[in-house]
Amino acid sequence: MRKVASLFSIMALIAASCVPKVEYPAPDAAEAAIFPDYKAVTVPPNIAPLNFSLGEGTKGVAILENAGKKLVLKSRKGGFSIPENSWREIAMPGSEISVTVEIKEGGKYVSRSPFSIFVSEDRIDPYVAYRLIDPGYETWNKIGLYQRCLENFSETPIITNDKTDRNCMNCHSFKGRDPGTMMFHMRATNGGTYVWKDGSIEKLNTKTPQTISALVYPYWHPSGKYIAFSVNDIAQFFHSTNPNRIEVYDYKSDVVVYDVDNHRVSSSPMLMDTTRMETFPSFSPDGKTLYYCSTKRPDMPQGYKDVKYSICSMPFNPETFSFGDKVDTVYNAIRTGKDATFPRVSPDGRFLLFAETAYGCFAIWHKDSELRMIDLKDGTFHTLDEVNGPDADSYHSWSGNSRWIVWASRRIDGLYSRLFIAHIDKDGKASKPFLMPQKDLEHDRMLMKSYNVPEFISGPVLFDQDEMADMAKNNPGTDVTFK
Amino acid sequence: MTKHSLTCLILSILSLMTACKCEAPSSFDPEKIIESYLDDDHQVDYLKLSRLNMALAETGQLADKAFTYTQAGSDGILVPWNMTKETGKLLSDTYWSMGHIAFAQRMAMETNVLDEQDANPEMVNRLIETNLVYGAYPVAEKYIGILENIHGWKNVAQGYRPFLNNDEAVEADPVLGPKRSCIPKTDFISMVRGVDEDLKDIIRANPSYHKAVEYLGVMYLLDCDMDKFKDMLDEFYGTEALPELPVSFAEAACMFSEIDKGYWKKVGVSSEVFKKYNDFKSRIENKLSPDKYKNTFWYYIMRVNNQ
Repeated sequence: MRKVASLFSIMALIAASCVPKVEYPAPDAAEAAIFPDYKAVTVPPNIAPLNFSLGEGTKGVAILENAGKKLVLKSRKGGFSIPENSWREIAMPGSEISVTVEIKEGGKYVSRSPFSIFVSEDRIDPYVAYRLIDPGYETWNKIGLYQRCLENFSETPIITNDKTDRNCMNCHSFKGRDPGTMMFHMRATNGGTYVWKDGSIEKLNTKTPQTISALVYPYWHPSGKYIAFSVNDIAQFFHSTNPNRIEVYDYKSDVVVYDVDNHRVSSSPMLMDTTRMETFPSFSPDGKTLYYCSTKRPDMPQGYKDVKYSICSMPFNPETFSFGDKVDTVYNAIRTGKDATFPRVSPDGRFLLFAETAYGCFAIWHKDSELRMIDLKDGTFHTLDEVNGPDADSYHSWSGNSRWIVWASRRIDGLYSRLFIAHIDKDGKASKPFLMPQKDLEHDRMLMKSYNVPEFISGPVLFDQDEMADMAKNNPGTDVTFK
Repeated sequence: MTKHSLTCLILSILSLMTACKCEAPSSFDPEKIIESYLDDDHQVDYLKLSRLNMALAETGQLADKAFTYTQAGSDGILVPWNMTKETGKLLSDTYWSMGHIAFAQRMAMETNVLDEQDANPEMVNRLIETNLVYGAYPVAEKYIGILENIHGWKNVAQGYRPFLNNDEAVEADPVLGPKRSCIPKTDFISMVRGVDEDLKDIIRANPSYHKAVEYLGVMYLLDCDMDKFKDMLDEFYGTEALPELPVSFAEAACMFSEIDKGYWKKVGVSSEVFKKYNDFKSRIENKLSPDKYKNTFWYYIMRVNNQ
């Protein structure tokens, strides 16, 4: 370790000696414009290097300093790629990195105001799983579920649809960030729900005569014995003028819970109220409460602006696979006049995170969608202004230690979702978020896919893609029944 | 330089030139499309017919000349979407021509998704155009960056940069400006009420964009929907959108004289056209060949009724 540290110091020193003389900033020196905006962000100590760009053609130097350690980088193609080993040395837990950027102007380097990157002591789950998909519309072509190691830049496919006849795949979900217990759906060709558990894959046919549709939006019970799902009659239309472009909506929907071992679903009359639509279920970390969203059912699509989901909860008994008869309203859409979707409780049980928008069920297409949080200890409402951006902030998940959230945001260009990560402290205070770092600085600007449904996982998913594809194509699947 | 390296150099230059030629943006040439169109009254190629009709619209001749060709319903304007790149691109082009920005963009997105390449330059180009029209500049800039990296398209892409965050430039541009004016003043759900209702909102938003009213009227005529055609005349005739009737509209208006004797005069149909209509009718009644009126809407509707 000492050897590495000394090598680091030598490298830094060598790099520093190559840098031309600098004009030091006046007190009011302008800030450097950088992409991504990593100024004053809080990052976990095990995150990959925060490479950043000054813009094509801009030449400069970045000086990273922390507790006597110094790293000097010269720009290449307008950006700074920080060596992983050097980053590890400088991104010490519970510390502050000072970054000074010097930009070459007229043959000399002019220093910009320094900025800080705060390194938290709280680590982040090493992986995040997501789907890469065109932000569209009706057709699809190349779709895949991927996993990215957050500690470096390695992205590997979990499964891609080039192995499954280019079908649609969606709604991946893990049991409490466990990469060994997951499910996802395939639609159209080879349609079915696929469950990966205890080292084996199972294909399910989940439409029953009693339910509206096959199983849709999932959430695993912490025991791994159940998965809560919505069943939905989904449609979409295209706006003529609205910047939101697309409206995805339900004609009707219910919530059911699937019993993994017995291949059956069950529900409660309160989760299948025909005058209302219930969707986006999730469980509390102790597995004793089922959260879901519920709205009255207007005439659709004309009444699309009247769709305002409240967040409700009801007791769930995992021992007897039964539902309570009392519904609590955690977020009351009638009172707020707004709409709340995707309730997600932090693993420590303290905070309920959700997306709030003016109306509707598909926050990703709503530019006003923002993340909000309720402190379940005292009911305090957190607006999370620190993390919300000017465009859609939606689908979110919690890290295992409840200190980090990851979500999809369209703030960069208004259409293509990218993953942002923010620290939430034990009192619910959020820090300025950061864009998931990339090795290639042009990646986020050039990629014509959206990051969709980010879920932290504690390690990589290791099932065999070919085995999964073979199951999809050749196994008729097990029929799910309704209890 | 050795002979071998010189040959290699020439070959590389040639291959580069070939690549440029293949990948350079193709320009839409309506005159050429009209000129080279081979009319076949036995077999209709909807894709070719749609391109012809679009070329007629782009040259301001759709409502005058559509029926001088063998037509086959409004599918000859808006081809059915069969989830292929070919129909997707054509539909994006047609909606763009109509001033229907939302669906021009939608079909560009759908078609781009279907392309095996990650970016189809023509559709990325349309995504730039439509996003500039909507003023969605950040995503337009993203697409410009992508198009700049596609061989042969760099200059086209860079030509859009002056429009970024510049509403005045967009509105002053002869292509983008009128399209922006076509955006309906109030939002509606596209295509749920039918393309005709969407077109009416486009016409109301930009009455000087005559292509929209020509598409609307011709589509009604191609579908022989005379009630809706008359409603359209009632709303738009005599306004900036339709100050006078083009040929096919005048021909159709003559037919309303069967229920409203003086209607043709009210909408400015000339007595010469009305006389021709009466001659056409008398030929049918007397079982004489109406073929001299083959290029009229009257002949088209007769043929459709006889099928």
